[in-house]
Amino acid sequence: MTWIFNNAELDSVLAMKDCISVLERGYLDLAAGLGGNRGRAEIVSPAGQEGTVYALKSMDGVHTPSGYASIRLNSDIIGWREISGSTRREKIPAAPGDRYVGLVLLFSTTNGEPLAIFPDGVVQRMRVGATSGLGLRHLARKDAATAAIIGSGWQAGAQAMAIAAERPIRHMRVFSPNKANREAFARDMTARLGIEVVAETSVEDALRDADVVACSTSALDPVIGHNHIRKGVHYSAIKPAEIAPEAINAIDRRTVHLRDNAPLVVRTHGVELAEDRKGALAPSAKVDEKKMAELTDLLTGKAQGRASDSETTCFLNYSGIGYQFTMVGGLAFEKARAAGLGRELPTEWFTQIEHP
Amino acid sequence: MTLILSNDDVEKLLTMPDCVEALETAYKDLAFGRGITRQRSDCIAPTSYSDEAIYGLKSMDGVVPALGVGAIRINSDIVTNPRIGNTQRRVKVPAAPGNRYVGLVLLFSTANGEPLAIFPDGVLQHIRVGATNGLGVKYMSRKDSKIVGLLGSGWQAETQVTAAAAVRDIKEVRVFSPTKENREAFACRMTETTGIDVRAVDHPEDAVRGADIAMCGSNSIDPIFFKDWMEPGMHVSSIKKPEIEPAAILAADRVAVHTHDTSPIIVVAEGAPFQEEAKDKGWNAAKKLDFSKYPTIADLIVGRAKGRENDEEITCFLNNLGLGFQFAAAGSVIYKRAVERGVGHDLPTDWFTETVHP
Repeated sequence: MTWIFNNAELDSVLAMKDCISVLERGYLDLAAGLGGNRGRAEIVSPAGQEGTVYALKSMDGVHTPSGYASIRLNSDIIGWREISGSTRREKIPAAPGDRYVGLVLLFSTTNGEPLAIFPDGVVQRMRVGATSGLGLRHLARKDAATAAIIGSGWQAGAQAMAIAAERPIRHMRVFSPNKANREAFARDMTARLGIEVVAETSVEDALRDADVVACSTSALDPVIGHNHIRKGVHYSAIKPAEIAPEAINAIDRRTVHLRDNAPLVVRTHGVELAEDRKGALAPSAKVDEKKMAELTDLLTGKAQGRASDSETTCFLNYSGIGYQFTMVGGLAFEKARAAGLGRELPTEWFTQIEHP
Repeated sequence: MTLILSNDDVEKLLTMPDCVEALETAYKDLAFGRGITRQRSDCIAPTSYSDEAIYGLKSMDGVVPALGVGAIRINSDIVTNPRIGNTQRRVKVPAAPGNRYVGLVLLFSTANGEPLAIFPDGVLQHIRVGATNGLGVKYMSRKDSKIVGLLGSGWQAETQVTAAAAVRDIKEVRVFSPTKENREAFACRMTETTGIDVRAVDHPEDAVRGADIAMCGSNSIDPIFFKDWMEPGMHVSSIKKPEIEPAAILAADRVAVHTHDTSPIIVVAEGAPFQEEAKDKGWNAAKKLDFSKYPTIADLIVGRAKGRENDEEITCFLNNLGLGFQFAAAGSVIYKRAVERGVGHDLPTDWFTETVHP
C-alpha cells in the first residue's frame, strides 16, 4: 500500500527532539558515505500573472541503512512584495482552495516501491529547525536561557521548537513587522513550548539579553546588522540575506550548513527575479563560506564547537538538501503508521508491469 | 481534482504521431529559451534486494510555459548489470509488490501550481524516446527511406519502429537482438501490429546491411553498432550514449544530439556496485567526443542547422539523454484528452496541496 498523510497527522507525530536525533544520525551516515544527496534544482518560467513566476523545484536523497529514498517537489507561484522597506519573496497559495503545492514522495530502496506521499510543509519546517538545532547544540552557550526569534512565520515556529529542545530556555522574544502575526506566534508557541513567548515591537527589543538569536524570515534585506552583534551570543539564519555580511564577518566562530550547496537553477529566457537585483539568492561575495566549518564537521568533531562563553558564534543554515527529507520523512512515515494514521491507495496506481 | 491515470489510459490517449508532433512543437520553445528542462539526476545506493543490484532514484523535469504545464518524471529502480550476448546490460528488476516497476510522472499547472495528474511513466517513456528518434529520422534520414535495420527487441525497440513509420514510408524492418526467441517474438508481434514486414535476422550486420535507417534500441552499456557497418546515405541513431562506437560517430558526415548534457548528475553512496561509470562504459562511453559542437534536435527543427544536405551523406542522431521537458510536452496532451474523455481516477487535490507555507 502507498500511504497518504496530511500535515496535521505528521505534526501530531513528529517531535523536534526525534527529528534532531534522526538528522544527527543521517549527517554522520552521509559523512561515512552511507547515503547520497542530490542538490536542489529549480526551474523557473513565467506564471499566469504579471510579476509572478512559476518554479518547479526538486531535491532528493537516499539513506542506505534505513532503506529510504525520497524526492521533495515544489510547484510554486512566486511573487515579491515590499514590507516595511524590505523586499519579501512570497510563495502565493494559488492552487484551488488557496493552497501551496509541495510534496514528498518516499520510496523503499529494497524494492523501489512508493511507500508514502505527503505534503512537505511539516517535514520541511521540522528539518530546517532540527538542522539549526544541531548547529545550536554545538555552538550556543550551554546555559543559554533567553532566545530571540526574528520572524513569526511557519519556519520561525520550528526554530523556536529546536532552541527549546536543545537549551534550558526560560524567556523567548519574537519580532516580526506584522503585529497580529507576531502576537499570534507568541500565543501559539507559549502554548506549544510551555515557555512564555513575548511579542516585541522592534528587532532591538527582541534581541535584549538574548543568548541565542534565530532569524527566520522571508527578507531579502538584512535584519541583523553589525551593531546587533553581542559577546557570547549564538546567531542563526536560514537565508543568506538575513545577517548582514559585515555582521557575519564580525562573528568569532562561523559555521555553515554546507560549504558548497549552490542550487542548479534553469530559467526560461528573460525571466527576472527580484533576487537578481538584490543579489540575495547567492550568498554575499563578502562572506567566504568556503572557509567555514560545516555542520558535519561539528558532528564528527573535525571542527570545534563553542570554545568559550564570550565567543560569538553563528550557524548559517542556508538552502536545504533532499537528504533531510529522506531522514525526517522516513521517521514521519514510521511514526504516522505506528499511530495508525493515513489513507492507503493501491500501490498498483504508482507502479507498473511495463518496463520504464 | 488530481487525475490518476494508468499506462492503459496513456496508451489510448497518446499515439506516436501525436507525440512526434507535440515534441516537435515544444522543441521550438526549447530552442528559443521559452521552455526549459533540468538535467537528469541519478542518486545511487546499495540495496538490500541483493549485493549485485543497485538502487537508483532518478528524476528529470521540465516546463512548457506555452502549454501551462510543468512535469517531473521520477524512477525508483532496482538495477542489475548482467552480461547478455557480447555486451553488458542495464536491466531493471520489477521488485515492487506484484513484480512491478516504479516510475511516475507528475504534471503541474504553471498557472496556479496545482498537481494536475499523476501516472506511471512506462508507456509515455517509450513513446517519447521513440518520438525523439522519429524526429531524428524526419530531419536527418533520406526522404525515400524504406528499410530500417533495428538492433534490440525490447520495449524501446517497438517505439523505434512506430516512430520511424510515423515520419517515413517504412516497408521493411530487420531486427537483431542476442536472444533468438526475443527477436522472433518481436518480429511476429510488430508485423501484426504495424502491418510492416518485420523480420528477425541472426546477425546484427544482416539487420543493418543495405538499410536506409539503422536504429539502436537496446539496453546495452557497451557499443553495438560499428563504423564498418556504415553505408553512404544511411541514417544511424541510438537511444543511449554507448550504443554507437565513437569511431562511427566521428565517421558520420553530420551528427546531431538530443541535448548537450552528456550525462546525468550522478551521486553514488558508498558500496553501490555501480557499473555505468566504468571506463568506456555507460556514461563514460564516447568521452572523447565533444558533444557541445553538435547541433541539438531542437536546432534542426528551428533551422539553425541542417540535418541532411544530400542523399549520400551519412547522418547520425544520438538520443543521448532524456529530458524532463518531453514529459511536460507530451504529458500536456495526455492530460487534456483525459479530461475531455473523462478518463482516470479523481483524487482530491487537497491531498497533494497544503495550507502551510512550505
